[in-house]
Amino acid sequence: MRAPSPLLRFAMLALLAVGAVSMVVPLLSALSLALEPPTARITGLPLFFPTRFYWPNFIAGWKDLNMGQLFGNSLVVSLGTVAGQSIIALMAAYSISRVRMPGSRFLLYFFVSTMFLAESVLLLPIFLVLSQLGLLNTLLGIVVPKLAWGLSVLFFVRTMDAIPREYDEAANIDGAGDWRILWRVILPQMWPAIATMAIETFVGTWNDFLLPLVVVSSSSKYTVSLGLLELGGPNVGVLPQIRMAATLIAMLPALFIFLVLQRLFMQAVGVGGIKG
Amino acid sequence: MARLSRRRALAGWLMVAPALAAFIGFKWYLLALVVWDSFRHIGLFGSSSWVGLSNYQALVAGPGFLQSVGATLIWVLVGLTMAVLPPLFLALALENPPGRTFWRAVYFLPGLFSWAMEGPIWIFLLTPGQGPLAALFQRVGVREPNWLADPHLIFFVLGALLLWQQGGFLALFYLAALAAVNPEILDAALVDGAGRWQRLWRVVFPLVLPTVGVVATVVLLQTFSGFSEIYVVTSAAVYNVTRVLTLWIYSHGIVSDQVGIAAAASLVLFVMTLVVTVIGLRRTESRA
Repeated sequence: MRAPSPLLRFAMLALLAVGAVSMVVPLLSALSLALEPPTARITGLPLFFPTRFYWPNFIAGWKDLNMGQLFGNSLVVSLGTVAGQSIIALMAAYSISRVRMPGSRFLLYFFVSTMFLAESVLLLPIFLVLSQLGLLNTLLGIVVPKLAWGLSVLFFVRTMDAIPREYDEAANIDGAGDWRILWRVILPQMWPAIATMAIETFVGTWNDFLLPLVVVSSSSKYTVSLGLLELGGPNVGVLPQIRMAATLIAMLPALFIFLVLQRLFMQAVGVGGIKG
Repeated sequence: MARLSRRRALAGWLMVAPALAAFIGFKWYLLALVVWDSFRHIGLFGSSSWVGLSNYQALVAGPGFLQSVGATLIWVLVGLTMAVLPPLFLALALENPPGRTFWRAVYFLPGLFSWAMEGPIWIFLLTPGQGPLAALFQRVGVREPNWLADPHLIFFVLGALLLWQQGGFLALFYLAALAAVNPEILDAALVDGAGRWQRLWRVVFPLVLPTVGVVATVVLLQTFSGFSEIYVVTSAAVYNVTRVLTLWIYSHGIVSDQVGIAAAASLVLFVMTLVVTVIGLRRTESRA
């Protein structure tokens, strides 16, 4: 739009700043709580910003909530979901976009329309089927239900449709079959799309605790998000300062991805949106 | 194009096979299973029998379920009123301010994290008598409302938190729509002597209107299956008020193993979501 008058511009910036403060203040007061010495009273803690800096809370938080194990479990689950989902969607997308067997566009609808099946509706049958498969209380049980994700198939098909066919034809003349074309010709051009989807899935899986809550029962299998709730809850007797420190540690991976890969991240959000 | 050779077709089906297995096994089969189980009584040791509609009758007659349907509808309504339009204004402000990457990042920040992380922070802030907010209320000399334990307040608090977490993300939809507004139309309006507000109301808003429908659909789907935020933030004092259907299904079907009834409730939730979303999409499409 046209440049607005300076006064309007200033008012808008002031409003933006007020809003931005309300976005950040809760996170800052979490930090200031996490930096209070364990002996401090937290009732009537007067400040939104940290004034004392008692860093050992973070070490205590890491140890008390057994976060090494939580991080390990979450990494396995998140990376497993990303890898499985990408490979499944990539092969399906190649088949739909390039091989084009009769009926393959119908397949696309078959996959994409499952996005209307909310996880909350399928929660019960997921639980029942996993229990029959003997996958309850395993990390695999948290991965498997998330492998089928319609958006990744749709996104990969769209991206692949935009890759010129001349590449495949050239490779085909050189005697490459479909598998070879997929891995050698198409895959290298798909990396940005794969990375975009991977970020969305990784952060979404890292943050999700509904599925782990349903699937997992022993604390050695907890993911980060579930562990924070179950092991840091008020009835476990972890000090609020230490729990908050652990919470902030748990935020670091998503924050890191966001800061380092901001452009890719915003693309990922544009494609799917992060659920937490 | 030449007819597909048998070898190519085989390769194609092999490539799509894992996806077929995953989507059938963990989507369509599960839907069928919910429908099937909702008409059956499943006893101990896996014995089960056809019971017709009696699970549904038990749902309606039993305590808590209708209340839970009501809570779900209230939560959807709260989401629609509190989280659909404010991101539009946010997007207008974020469209082109100086330092816009910074502002966008800041507003996006809360959407990065799980309610498992942000919930405890808000509980700390919103519990009366502890934390900086309580200190603020004390200094002003106003009694702090019991944000998370007041049944009249809880849904508004949850709605505000939803906006806090999702506002930046939802604004992205509007930003995309605003970026697609053809500048020539705005120039034409300017030439015709339209003022700033007129251009906003008469030109930009109508063009962005279909996106309101998109955002509303996103919020609808989110709130219909709302779980995380409510599960983490709501205190026991208002548990009955905020127990939306997903929580109901979780506590009846998974914690206490009443499969038939919980399956019926899942199907009710599915049909509710589908009907409202489809009607919503129709209406936005006809307007677009």
